Amino acid sequence: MARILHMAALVALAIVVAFPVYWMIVMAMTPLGFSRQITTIIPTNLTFDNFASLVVERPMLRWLWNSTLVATLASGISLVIGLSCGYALSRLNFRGSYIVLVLVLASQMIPSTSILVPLYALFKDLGLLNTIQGVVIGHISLVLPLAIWMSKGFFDSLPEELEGAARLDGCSRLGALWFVAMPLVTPGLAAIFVYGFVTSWNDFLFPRHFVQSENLWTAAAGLTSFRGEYFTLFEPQMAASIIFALPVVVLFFFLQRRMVSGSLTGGVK
Amino acid sequence: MADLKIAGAPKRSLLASVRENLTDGPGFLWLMMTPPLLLLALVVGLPVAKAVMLSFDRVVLTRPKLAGDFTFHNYIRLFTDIDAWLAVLRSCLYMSGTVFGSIVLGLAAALLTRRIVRFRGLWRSIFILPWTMPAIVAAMVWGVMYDSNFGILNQLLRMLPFVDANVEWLLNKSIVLPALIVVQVWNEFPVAYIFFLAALHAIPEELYEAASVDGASPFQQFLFVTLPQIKYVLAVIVVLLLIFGFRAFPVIYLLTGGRTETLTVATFNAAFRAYDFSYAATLGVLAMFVSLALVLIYLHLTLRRGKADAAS
Amino acid sequence: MAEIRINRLRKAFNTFEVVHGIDIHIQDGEFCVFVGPSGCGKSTVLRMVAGLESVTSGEIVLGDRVINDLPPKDRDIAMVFQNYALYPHLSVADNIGFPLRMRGIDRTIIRKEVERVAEIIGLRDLLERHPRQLSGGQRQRVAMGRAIVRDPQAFLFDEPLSNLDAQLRVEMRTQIRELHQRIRTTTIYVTHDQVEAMTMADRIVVLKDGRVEQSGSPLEIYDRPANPFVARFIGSPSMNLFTGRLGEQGLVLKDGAVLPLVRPFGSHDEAVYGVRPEHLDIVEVGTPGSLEAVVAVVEPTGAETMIFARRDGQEITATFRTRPTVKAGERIALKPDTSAVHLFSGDARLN
Repeated sequence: MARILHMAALVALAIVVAFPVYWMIVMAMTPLGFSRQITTIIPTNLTFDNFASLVVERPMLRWLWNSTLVATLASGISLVIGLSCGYALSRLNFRGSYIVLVLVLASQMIPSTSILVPLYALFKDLGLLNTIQGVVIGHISLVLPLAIWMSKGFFDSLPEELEGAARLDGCSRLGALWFVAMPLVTPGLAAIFVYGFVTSWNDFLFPRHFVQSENLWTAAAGLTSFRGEYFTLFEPQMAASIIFALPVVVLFFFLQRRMVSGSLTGGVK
Repeated sequence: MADLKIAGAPKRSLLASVRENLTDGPGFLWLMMTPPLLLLALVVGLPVAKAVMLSFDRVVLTRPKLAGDFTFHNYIRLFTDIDAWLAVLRSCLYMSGTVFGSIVLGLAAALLTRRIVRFRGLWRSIFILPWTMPAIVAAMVWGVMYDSNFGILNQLLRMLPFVDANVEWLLNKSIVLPALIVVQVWNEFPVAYIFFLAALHAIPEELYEAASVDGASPFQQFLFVTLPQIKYVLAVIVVLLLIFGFRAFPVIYLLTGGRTETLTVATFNAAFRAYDFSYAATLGVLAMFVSLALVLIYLHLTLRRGKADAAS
Repeated sequence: MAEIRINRLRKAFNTFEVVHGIDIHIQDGEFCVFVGPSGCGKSTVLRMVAGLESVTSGEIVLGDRVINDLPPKDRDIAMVFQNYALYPHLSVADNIGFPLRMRGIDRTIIRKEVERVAEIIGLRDLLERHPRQLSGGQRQRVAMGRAIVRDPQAFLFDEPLSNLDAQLRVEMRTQIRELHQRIRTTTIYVTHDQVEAMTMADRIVVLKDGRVEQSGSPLEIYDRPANPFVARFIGSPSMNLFTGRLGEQGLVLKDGAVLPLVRPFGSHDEAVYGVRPEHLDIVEVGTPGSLEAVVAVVEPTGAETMIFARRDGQEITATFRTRPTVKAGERIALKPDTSAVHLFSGDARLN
């Protein structure tokens, strides 16, 4: 009896949690304009037209490409630079390291609206508005603290003796990092890169407000423009949402175990 | 000892000794820290400094003549601005709501799946799925579901015998905040779920065996075995979710178009609706202080625990 | 190979000093063991010799060079760590060859050297394995292989056997010793286990709280400990120590019992009287110069029989090669062998 109750509760909770995703898929595959007439949960006549029209009628592919470019650059740069900072914070007990740590974590937790406003003012002066570079720089400010914090976590989990041994075996400190520590944290680096990539991919605030020209928008910025213009049309919104979310979901589940443990050490999404 | 060779100082080219210093000497710290600190100063330090400068200025795009003088105007305005404090209050409500909801839902899901053996991966994937959804997508999906006329929620509600009118989920001022909290909880409760699941798995099974031998009911087992063991994780999640809730912007902004003002939305509106960048920066600075405080609590919790772990 | 001289070496972390100006002189080819309780600074000294910890003041001399400020890679020292510190991503062969690879030595030569070393440590068949596929003892040997492959000036061992089980530990002890006899490289070996120190060392340095308590050959230290700490720390079971006042016949305990000395001492100061468990004899109750005690536990180990007796709240341990027929609860008298008595006053040895 207890088992049945348990299973019933589990199934009910799972249905509630999964329903919005299911509904998103159903809506996306409903012929344009028909979603208002849906009266059952189980859909009939499904179509892929909505996805096709995104590509044909809107610059969706262009936006996805911009997103990929921005996210790769922002996450890649943050990873390389963040790695060296994370290593120093983990291994070199220098004066002020705690302060750096606090500041790094704090800058990661600052709401992006607090950064958006001064950054907008700065970019206006520097002529970086309406450029991809501006968006990349903005996203580095979101991703870099995360990369530092996470890479520190991964280095912390390595026994320090390994680098001690390497140094006695003829490595400089840099050599010990390169030949011993780096190969061992490589799986962690993938997780850091994906986190950074996803953070940049998901953000619409910076690309939407730094960039006016639609063809420089990222997918996130493009997606948010669907609300308003097409407010009453559910189907393209949902189709675009799926296209937008799909790479992120795939990445997450592909690296599921690592992402989960990374989020436990890093303590953040 | 005078005849001893002092090692490390043989004749070498300047370049080689600089290289040696950087890769294996005291200079290594500089090598590792200079680029990150420069970049951090550029992408975080500079905007923060600019925000502080703006907050003591009057940069209003519609009235350019005001700018240029050092002034406390914005801070004085902030202290008397009821809307701003209402926004802070709304942020607090939003934070508490999302923390409470995420913890209840996350803990429930973790307790329900902890001992499941069959389709374990499937159940976990289902409960992690909402977290993988970008906040924008969460907002879009729920926006469609919340739609007053055609949304599925109202369609389902209308099937009930005693409901005839549509609920204005996002327009009704007394419903909108809980409605937004539901979306945020749906999107972020998996964080709590993952933490709780890990914490639950770390509890030795013998504790439960001992408790049931001692005659503890399942509820008592939860109260006296489970809860004390996940206390620390609970505290960390609470702070973490508080931070998430405080930062929240996309869900609120996209679903209400900025009509429901939390501190983050108010910051945005001040800049991009009223074009008062100085006042927006002032609100932003206030938000920075709040997040700094939350971070310090988080660090206090985790680092102290880290030290205790290292000592034991 | 080279001698190691440590002169007035100090180490402070911020303002907290943990090593207080120690002097140790290790001869060329010597196997020197640093022993002491945890927190005594032995590992810190070792890490300073290795170059992994900076020197606050003083000098470390290897051969004829002061190596204080030399980075570890240029010191020509090899080290075996407590948890072996094998590179998890490299095979056994690559682990052993790593120091040579870092020195830019030709691949074919590395290959040959690795095989030579694998022969010495008996790991020929495991060269392609990864560390995680090895047992504790095998990992230990890989770590040693990596140390000997480049023929360094000195070996450092940091508690290398503490992660092994008891039997393996005894085995590895002999192997390390044999290896040293074969290649005769100056060695510093750090341990908290005094049995390891006694069995392996040419010379033992006993450390406590960042100071050298005594230094000498194992038997010197065993036979003539310089102070009560060394007396109790070295030897198992520990030496029996009695505190009392010096008198005409010997050392007078608080309850009036007298412990005999070879010759009377002039002073009447407070002193500590030490006698090792094997230097106690069972005599008839009432014999002058004996201590009465009640047997608490009798532990026959076969070769020896250990008796734990209690007297006035103090535990006395005695070991016998013979097999005395006493039982728990019995009252016995124990008489020290006066020629093997250690007498201390404060921190100094009197006899």
